[in-house]
Amino acid sequence: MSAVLTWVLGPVSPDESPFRRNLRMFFSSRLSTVSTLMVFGFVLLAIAAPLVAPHDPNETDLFRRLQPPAWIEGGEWSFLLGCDALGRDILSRIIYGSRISIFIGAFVIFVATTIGILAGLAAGYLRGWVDIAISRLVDILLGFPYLIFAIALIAMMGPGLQNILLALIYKEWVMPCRVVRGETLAAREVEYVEAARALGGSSRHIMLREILPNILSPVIVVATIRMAHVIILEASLSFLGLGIQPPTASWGSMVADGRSYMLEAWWVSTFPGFAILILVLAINVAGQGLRDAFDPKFHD
Amino acid sequence: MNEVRPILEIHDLVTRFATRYGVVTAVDGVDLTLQRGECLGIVGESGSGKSVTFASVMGLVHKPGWIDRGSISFEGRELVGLDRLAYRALRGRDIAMTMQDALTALNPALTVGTQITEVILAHGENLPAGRRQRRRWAREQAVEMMRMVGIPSAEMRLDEYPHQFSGGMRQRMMIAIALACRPKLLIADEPTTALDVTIQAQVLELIADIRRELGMSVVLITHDLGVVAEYCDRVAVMYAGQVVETGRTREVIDAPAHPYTQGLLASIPKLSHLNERIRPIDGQVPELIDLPPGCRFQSRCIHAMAGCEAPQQVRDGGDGHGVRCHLAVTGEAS
Repeated sequence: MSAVLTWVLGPVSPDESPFRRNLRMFFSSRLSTVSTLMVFGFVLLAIAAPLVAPHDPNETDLFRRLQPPAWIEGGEWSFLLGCDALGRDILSRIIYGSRISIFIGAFVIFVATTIGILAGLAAGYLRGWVDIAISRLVDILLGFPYLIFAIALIAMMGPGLQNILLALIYKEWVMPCRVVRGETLAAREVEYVEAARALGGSSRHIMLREILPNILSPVIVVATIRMAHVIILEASLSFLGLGIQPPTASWGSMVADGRSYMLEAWWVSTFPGFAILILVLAINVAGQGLRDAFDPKFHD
Repeated sequence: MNEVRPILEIHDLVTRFATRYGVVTAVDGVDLTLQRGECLGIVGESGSGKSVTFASVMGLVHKPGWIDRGSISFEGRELVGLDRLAYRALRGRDIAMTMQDALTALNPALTVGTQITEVILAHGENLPAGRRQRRRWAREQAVEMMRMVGIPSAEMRLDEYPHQFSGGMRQRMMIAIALACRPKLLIADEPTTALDVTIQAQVLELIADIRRELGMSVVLITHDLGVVAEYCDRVAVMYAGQVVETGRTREVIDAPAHPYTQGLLASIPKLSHLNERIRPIDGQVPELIDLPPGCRFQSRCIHAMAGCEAPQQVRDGGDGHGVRCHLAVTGEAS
């Protein structure tokens, strides 16, 4: 294997930490690099939306109702991707909509992963009734279909950004929790954990300082891949009208808006749909690349 | 040995494990005494209970295992049933243990410097005030400890990860971490099994030197009688969860009284008799479930006879040389 590694990465210096080596392996794949750049591109777009967007995303103009994209007859170059049924610029709405998708994806994953790590460490390391309580809760939550669960929660709490975040976090922490618990079960039997115990380390110290740094790689991989799922879920909720409420732009609700004009004005639904597709695809490919580079099972 | 109170006294220790095949008595009535500053060797093959005995001392026997009865007293303080927090404070500060496999006993995700300074900061006394001063002080202590165990350019190597260390250096690092708080008792569980022979001698010499320097007591767990002969004051030979012979190293090695010890010594190749065949002990260690009450070695013993099926008591020859064999008293086995 080391011969292959040398061939791919150039000489492997013994001073390089495993993390740096994995990172180098990740960026040695062109596909991973490109998709990572694309994800960062979307993030930049979301942050710089007011600077980048050509028009106000909520400005309506009934004279431009269902105006086609620029390259089709009747289009204008200043409204590159055309306009929707209220005459709002689709490109600007896509750019602003990326804020919702990326913010919800990142926030839900961040909070859910933090909860999942803590719960998983506690279940896997402390065992006993803590493990039973957490694992049964995880099993119960896994029994519900995700979307139906989220729809039910939002139906109870009402739509709105905060409630969407809650509805998604309620279940999302289960995934990292299971991964962390499994990894912790394996790691708690390792010699260095026993050595830490023999040196008088507390449970908290062992969980957070000894075990966590060693199981972080799979958690990062899972979080990346799950982020794509969360973005799709948010789009689904918005499509069903349970997500971000109008007039705020969200990719899911934009697709829903264009549904009724699919035949005469295909661009209204299609471009936000492409945006979802490209972002999710880029995150998934980057996540795959991360897994290939960081999971030792894929090294051989 | 002078008359001061021993640093560690284990009396009638029984440690059991619940398995799906039944209850395994891994340690069955072990009595051991360790004097201050002494080096005690524990010898036995795999499964003889030597590691479990000292896991019990460290309070590291976890479910499904438990200490069934007996007492362990450290400096006169009873350790069996000691509460968790008090035990944690004791581990690393007063009693330290190095693990069997140095190659996996260091956390691969943390620098060795982090690993050693954390122990110093967790247990150290008279820490300077202020976070930054404390850190610097812990680093200085760590460097001093690493110098002591013979790690060259310690200052630089402090910020390296375990995978950048060779096997011998990792073992030294383990010892440095174990000694970071200058414990009164060091339990070295097979400190040399993962190392090649030249490094083995260096590491053992190192432990012996530091022991003299710090006046520390050492328990050396090993399966190598040669190591014991070289470095230990006294030795206890364990077999199937029991101590079968104990005494001064010289006496046990020169005049082994238990057939098992004799067998162990006979199975070591000797330079002076190179053309002689090694005499291994036939058979295997018995299963530790439902053991018969009699001598545990009888199925493999070349002297087995009537009387061996009765429970065996440790008989003391009066000079601290104890043997768990009824033949030893009549002298037939020796």
